[in-house]
Amino acid sequence: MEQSGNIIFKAESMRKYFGVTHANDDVSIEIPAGQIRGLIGENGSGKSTLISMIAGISRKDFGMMYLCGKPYEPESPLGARNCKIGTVVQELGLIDGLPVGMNLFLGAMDPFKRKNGILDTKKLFAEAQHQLKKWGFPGISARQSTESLSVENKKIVELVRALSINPELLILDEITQALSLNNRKKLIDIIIQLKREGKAVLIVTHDIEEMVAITDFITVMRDGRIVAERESEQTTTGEIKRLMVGRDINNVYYRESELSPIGEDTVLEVRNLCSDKFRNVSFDLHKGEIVGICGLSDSGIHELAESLFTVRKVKGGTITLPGKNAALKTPKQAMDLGVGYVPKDRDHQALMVHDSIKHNIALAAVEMTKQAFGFLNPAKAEKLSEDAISRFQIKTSGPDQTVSGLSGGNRQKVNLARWTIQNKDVLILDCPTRGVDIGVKAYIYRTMTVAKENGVSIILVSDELPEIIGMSDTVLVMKEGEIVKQIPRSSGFSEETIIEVMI
Amino acid sequence: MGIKNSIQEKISVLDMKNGHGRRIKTIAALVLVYLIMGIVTKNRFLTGTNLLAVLSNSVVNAFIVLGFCFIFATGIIDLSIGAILVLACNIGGILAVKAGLGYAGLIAGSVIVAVILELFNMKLIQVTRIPAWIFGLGMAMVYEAVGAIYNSHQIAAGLQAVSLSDSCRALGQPPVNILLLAAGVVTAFLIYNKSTAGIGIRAVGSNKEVAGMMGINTSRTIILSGIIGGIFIGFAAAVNESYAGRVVPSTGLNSITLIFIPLAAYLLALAFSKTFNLTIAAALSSFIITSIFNVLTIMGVPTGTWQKVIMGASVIICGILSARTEKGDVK
Repeated sequence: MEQSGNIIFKAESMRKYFGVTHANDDVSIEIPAGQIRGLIGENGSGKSTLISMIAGISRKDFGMMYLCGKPYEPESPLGARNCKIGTVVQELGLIDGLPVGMNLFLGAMDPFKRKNGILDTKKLFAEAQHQLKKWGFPGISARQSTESLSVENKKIVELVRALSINPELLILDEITQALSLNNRKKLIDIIIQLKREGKAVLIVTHDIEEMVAITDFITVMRDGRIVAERESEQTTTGEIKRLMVGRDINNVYYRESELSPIGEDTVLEVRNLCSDKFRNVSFDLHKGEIVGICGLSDSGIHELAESLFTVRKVKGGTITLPGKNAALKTPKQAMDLGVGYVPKDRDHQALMVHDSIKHNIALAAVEMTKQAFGFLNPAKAEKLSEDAISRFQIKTSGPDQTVSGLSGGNRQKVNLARWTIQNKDVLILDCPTRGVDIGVKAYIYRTMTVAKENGVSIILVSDELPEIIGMSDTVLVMKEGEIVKQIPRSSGFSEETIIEVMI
Repeated sequence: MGIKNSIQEKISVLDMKNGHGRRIKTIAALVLVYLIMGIVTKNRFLTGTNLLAVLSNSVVNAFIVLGFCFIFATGIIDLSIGAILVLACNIGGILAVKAGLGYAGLIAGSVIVAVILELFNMKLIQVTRIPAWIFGLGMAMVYEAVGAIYNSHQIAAGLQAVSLSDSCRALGQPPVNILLLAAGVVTAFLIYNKSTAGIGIRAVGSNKEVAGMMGINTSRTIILSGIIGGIFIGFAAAVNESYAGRVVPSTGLNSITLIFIPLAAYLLALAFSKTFNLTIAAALSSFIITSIFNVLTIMGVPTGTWQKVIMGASVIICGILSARTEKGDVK
């Protein structure tokens, strides 16, 4: 593709309105060839809106875009794809009912058509497998049903779909948080490879350290505008944080106390838990303790979280609450006995995204909204939702707003709020900060710390090691479905010591 | 990492082998079931003549199930298909006999009517945006009423609904109907699996928003599913008219019972879709369901009562089986 003045993509005075909200207000950006550009900002700052216009998902209201010097105005994601702009969106964008290979080339199958119009599926699947192998993911079969893939592998398929067009500009919207450590490293290698080939990459991530480390240049957005641009080598994470929120962020990000007291009482006891994804998992969770569970992809950490809340069947073993003399059998029983669960896949497993905030909160806290004879009290549900919105500073028009209208961070606040407003004894949090910005992240960590201080015990499952290290009293490292090491905070664990065990 | 990739590749190969193994196990289980059916019927079921009759009787249902594969794939559950079938049978019959167009009239009339009515349904479902099953119920009553008006006119004239008499009957008899079904299955297989139209239909049914984002015109695709599904329903009508000679229109949503057995077969086909391709499973499931009712008849189970109970139960059982289907490799 012909290039003009070494600039691959340029946008001038881009504006996008949603009612009275200026989602993008006079946004101009230039991305030269061979540059890895970071785009960062709080939830609702306008990053995803800008990306959606570049990717052809939504139309601009005003402004101009140029690709390799020529005016560029995609009418659809397919149009953007045809112009060699590959995008991986924040939310999952695959067709579950089609195999992986067909998802890779959906909307662009003409090269696989025979003269009689019939698709040469053998060629299509072979090419799809070639692409998966070429980009370092041969373990995913092109013929495999997409539905059967994990969230992480679905994201990888989306990535390979974007890469398969040999993009001039690759846009990655919060993809890294869906990936485990090993696949994150693969992604970084791919990005560096594209840079060497003179392609441009626009990457959005809430992991500021990661962004500063892998990008050449960082654009910071706030309230729909670009507020700063910095060379990555010349900036610091502290400066980026300050630019994002418009004020200094307290240095204390994770919990303050290095070693804080843990109760002697065991509140949750797991013994020899086995399933098709993990085996012989045993550990104790004490009152006021945060147990962090980490591991590479396929280590079974997320499946273990599901099993601890009994939503995933186990083949053997027990989960008991000694203080209540009960063994957990069903999610309803777990909820009744004071256990809450925040799953990793927020939009599919946790929230009813097309329903209101009020109903989402009331569903988890149904006991708190009951009145005489077990009937639900709408006024109580309303009050509970208003309290949660106020306490968690959820940016919304009110309890009746549908969750689908909220930003990712605010959705996660709803997800967490509905459990933390109840006096649960045990919280199982699977990637609670996935897809949320620095401000929300800090808030979630603060909430966890306060809960811990109030005697709530937390199981924190995460793909992010700094989070595990920063928040846990005890770290359980899993490898190939087994706990291979249990490290107490007193031993002064570090990323290096944990990675050594994980790999 | 190289070792890990190599292991993962081996797992993929193993998965494919598991797929073949599963297919062999399923076929073995089916053979066993047929042997049992042979034993309980004291070998009256497992005779060449009877199996040929079962196969022949399953042709109409198989065509309807193939129609379902496209219409239901977009997420539209159209309950008026039975009424469309009855109307298509009669129009096909009228063109074949009254207009003297023979087989060409029978097939063209049936297919054109089914396609037009499905097209009409799909368009109106999109325009009105009401749930497809509610719309289907309403349209079933309308189409039944149209058929009933025609029938009452015939009766008033001292006639009956059109009858093929001795003409155009080969289409409903073996080997023609079986060959026609074979051609239908091959065509459905190619459209469903190896055409952009089929892939688009499946994509829209699975996730309309993502399909739209990938450049698929979702409205047009839904219409297309109605046209393709309508063609198969039309062939089902032609074969049915040829086999029965006369199909009398009725009211009171009786037409919905016509699609009960095909519905059970469709759900069973979904359950088999991990083992066989859906279009092949459609024909296989129709044969299996027809076999079961054949066995019941041989065993003297009353058709009006207990067989109806079993028909209803079979829809539920097949629904449970399809819901339990674990999605895996695509055949």
